Amino acid sequence: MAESDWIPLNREIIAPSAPADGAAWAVEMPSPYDVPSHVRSSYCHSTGVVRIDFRYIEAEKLVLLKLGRYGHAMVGKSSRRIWKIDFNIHQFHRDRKQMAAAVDESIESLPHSEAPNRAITLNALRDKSEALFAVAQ
Amino acid sequence: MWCASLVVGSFAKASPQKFPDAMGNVIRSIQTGWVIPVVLIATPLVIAVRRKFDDSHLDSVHGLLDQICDATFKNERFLHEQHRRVTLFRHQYFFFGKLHFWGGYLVPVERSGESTRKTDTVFAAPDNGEACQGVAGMTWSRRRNVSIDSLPDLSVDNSEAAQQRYATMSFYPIERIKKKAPRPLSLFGIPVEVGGKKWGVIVIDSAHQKINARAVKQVFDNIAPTLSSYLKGK
Repeated sequence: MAESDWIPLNREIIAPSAPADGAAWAVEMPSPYDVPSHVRSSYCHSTGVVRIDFRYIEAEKLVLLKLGRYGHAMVGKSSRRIWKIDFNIHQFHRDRKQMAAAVDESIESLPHSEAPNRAITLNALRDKSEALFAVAQ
Repeated sequence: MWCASLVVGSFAKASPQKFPDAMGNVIRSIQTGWVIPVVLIATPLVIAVRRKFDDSHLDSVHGLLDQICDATFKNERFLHEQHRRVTLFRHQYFFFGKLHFWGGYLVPVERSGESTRKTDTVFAAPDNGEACQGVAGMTWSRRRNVSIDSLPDLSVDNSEAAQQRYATMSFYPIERIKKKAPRPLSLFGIPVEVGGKKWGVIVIDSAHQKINARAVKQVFDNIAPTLSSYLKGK
């Protein structure tokens, strides 16, 4: 099993501020509970599964969801935040671009795809994909 | 209540003949009357009610709000303490003060500092986001941090136009502004969650034109887990 260290995430990159809808004078930022502070990945050589873990400021109960064609995810029971993604990468021949595209597609296929946390986790994965998928090389 | 429960429990099966007359009569009345059922029912009820309304946790929360206030306004000078405040609001579906009844309200439970801690400013926060009031209501409804800077200074210009502009920018009800002009020139709302569920909001207000959002985010990330642990079950 290969595992990366916890990689700190830059909030300004993955969850930037924006003017509020219909109230341009107000600035909105995603809830601090929705923004993961760190991400890490691990790779199991025998099963070919990459696991990506996110760390948030508060723990919560998790439920399991099927993740498109490629694996499954553990999400917060009430908040629907993505905490873990288990992802089978055997079919991608260790091609990082294909892996990243499949992660994108899988996250977008989750229920509650409009939740702010979905876009934030996607940004985090895109920003750190090189370091995260390096464990599978 | 614990003592009453202990005494009743001890005497429930005692033999009255083994005690002096006066004591024996008391034991007999405990065994034959309503005392045992009443104590058995009342004890858990009293404990549950006391636990629900126990606000000793707010002392600790007060310290955390002070911490947010100090970190946010570090190196800023204010004439009075009430010109920079951090207030914790709890969301309640029912509120019995000032003719409010049901529909969802954000009720202040604790505030930083030592002065002007008592406040009766309650904001509507029903399921319908359009009816939410103030930055507190907007933060609750949108489940996001909301920051508003450079509000009109009503202590300088309290005209109807300025009041209207303040109401539009801050989502504050105009009728309240007409009664008493609010002082804050900048506001920052943060949603508060416990166990992944919405609990309430924190509102930071300042008499200065801008609140340092970066400092707020930094300090809140540090104190949020502790805050949630104190608010759990409350």
